[in-house]
Amino acid sequence: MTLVDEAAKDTPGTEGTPPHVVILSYADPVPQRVLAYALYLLRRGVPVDLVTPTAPSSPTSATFPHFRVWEMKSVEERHPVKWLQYTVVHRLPSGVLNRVRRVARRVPGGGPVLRAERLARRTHRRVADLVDRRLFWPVYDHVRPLVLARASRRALASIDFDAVDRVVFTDTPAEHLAWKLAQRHPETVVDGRLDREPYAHLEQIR
Amino acid sequence: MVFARARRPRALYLAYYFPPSRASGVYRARATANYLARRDWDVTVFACPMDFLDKVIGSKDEELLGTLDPRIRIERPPLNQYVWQRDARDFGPLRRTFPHTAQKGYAWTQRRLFPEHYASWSFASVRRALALHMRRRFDVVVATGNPFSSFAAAWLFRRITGVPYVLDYRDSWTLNQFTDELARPEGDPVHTWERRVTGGAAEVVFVNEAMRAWHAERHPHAADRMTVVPNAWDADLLDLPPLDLSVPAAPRPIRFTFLGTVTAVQPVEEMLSAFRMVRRHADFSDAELHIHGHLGFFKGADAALRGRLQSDADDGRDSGVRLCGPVPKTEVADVYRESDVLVFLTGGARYVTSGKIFEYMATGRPIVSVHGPGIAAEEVLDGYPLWFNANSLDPSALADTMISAAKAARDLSPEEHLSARRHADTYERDVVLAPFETRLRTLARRSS
Repeated sequence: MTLVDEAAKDTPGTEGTPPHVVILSYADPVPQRVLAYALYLLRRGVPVDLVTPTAPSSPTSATFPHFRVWEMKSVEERHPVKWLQYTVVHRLPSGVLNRVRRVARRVPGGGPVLRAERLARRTHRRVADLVDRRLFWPVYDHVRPLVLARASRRALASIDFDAVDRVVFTDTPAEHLAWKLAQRHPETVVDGRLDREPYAHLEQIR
Repeated sequence: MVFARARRPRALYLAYYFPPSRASGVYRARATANYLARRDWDVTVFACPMDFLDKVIGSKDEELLGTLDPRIRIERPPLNQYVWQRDARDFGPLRRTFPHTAQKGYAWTQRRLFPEHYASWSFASVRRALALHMRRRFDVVVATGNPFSSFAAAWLFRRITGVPYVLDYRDSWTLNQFTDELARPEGDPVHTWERRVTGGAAEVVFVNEAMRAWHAERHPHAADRMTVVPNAWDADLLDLPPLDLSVPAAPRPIRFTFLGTVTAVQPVEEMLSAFRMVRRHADFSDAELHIHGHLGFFKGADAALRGRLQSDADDGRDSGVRLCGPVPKTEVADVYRESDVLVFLTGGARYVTSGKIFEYMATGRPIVSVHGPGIAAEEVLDGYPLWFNANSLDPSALADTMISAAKAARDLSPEEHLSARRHADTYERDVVLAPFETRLRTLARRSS
């Protein structure tokens, strides 16, 4: 009752070239379905590079030496757009309020100023939160794929794409970078599915 | 004195799934377009773009194209394939640069314009139809669903041009035929759209009475215009002369055959369990079950179905089950010719007819039902003398019925065979379509 599967003849890992997968996943934390996919590949001996904001607690490079995680969160935070937003909305107003507090503590009879400072701090927190959610993120979401593509440059430079047979992108923010990689590496499959089929023929080694 | 020849009625047929698609509903669309063309209609069909079949569906039946009347004009308006694009190289300029913007925009069209992924095809269809209509007037529009955005296209075209339209519910839109519940909750925009499009239709056609009655109750404003045009079998695709039963056939194992697309909603496990029991019967220990056709409609659906079909075959012994793969339309008759009993495997309940059953009946062979009790197909099978129905999905009851069917196949008489074929003749496509075509012609005459 077995059918000959013609497609299997072209699957990676069947002609001596070991498969290698790069996963682009910019949700934080990494969704379970993505981790399950990475685990599926790792257990079959497929080297995986995961480009993501924060490294997952499992799997890790300690348990799977052929697993590398490239953390993007701090790089993204340093990008001028994010840096400017954080500075204008959070750092500058907090700095001003900190200074007011310091001066008010030193000056006798600064109680009313300190009370006003506390009120201003609470108000700032609420307004900053509102600005983040209602103003910054709705706009930033649109340019974030470009920011992430830029932020991921160094990580991607460390990956030998000649050995990579598949790039898997798992969410919308990864689509711009996925497209760029598809242009740069015409031989590589750049796919939005967590497709296990091409690796199903590989023996599970652990 | 020379009279100008009367203008042929002109029909616009919105049939997204049309050859070379191999979707199950394609035969109804193909036959309707062919029949209208044969009856001297000027037929223009709007079908899905070819790259949708190549990239999304992943398969085509090129031979079906050859069965189309050459007078039919086929147009393929474009479709925004946003939700199906998985290869980054297919992304358009907006998506590849600002994917979030593209996603938001797409979601907005779904929410505000029409809640279906095929909506862009329908709007493109209206644009193209208007261009063609400006050159030469359409007299009637027939829209078949799914996709149901074709209904919206017909409705919009009528709003702009006044051309009447007919809706053909090949499938159900708001009713889940497999659970008998609403497919979308009350208050969902699809219900508003359904009320709107049925309200404006000159006729609303269903494939069986159960579907018509359900929709008539739900949309009483259009109930008097709701009719039934059942599915049928196509004589041009199934060349099966009556069996010559006067000559005893060479002895060989009895062969059960399923021909069609295996889908996730079908009771596959029950069928396999019953078949295993059949093979325990002394007379049928070498019986075979041949499964012909695709596994699933969409690319990638086959792995799970293959697993379900193979789950009982890994003990090393021959299970008698053969996965034979897809059959070109030209070889379908050969498959039927070599079959003894046809297995009518289908999911769903009282609203499901299945197009396959008509072809099965046309063979004049025993048919064994493997489906839940009370499905709409029973209306059609009622009166077919070689129908074996357990009226249950209990494997032992199914096995008994399969054994009865196998015995009937072994002892089939010419009278039984011909009587079965006579029953099937009432469901030959031209017979079924003739009254529909007459109604369309009247509508077109009134419109022009």
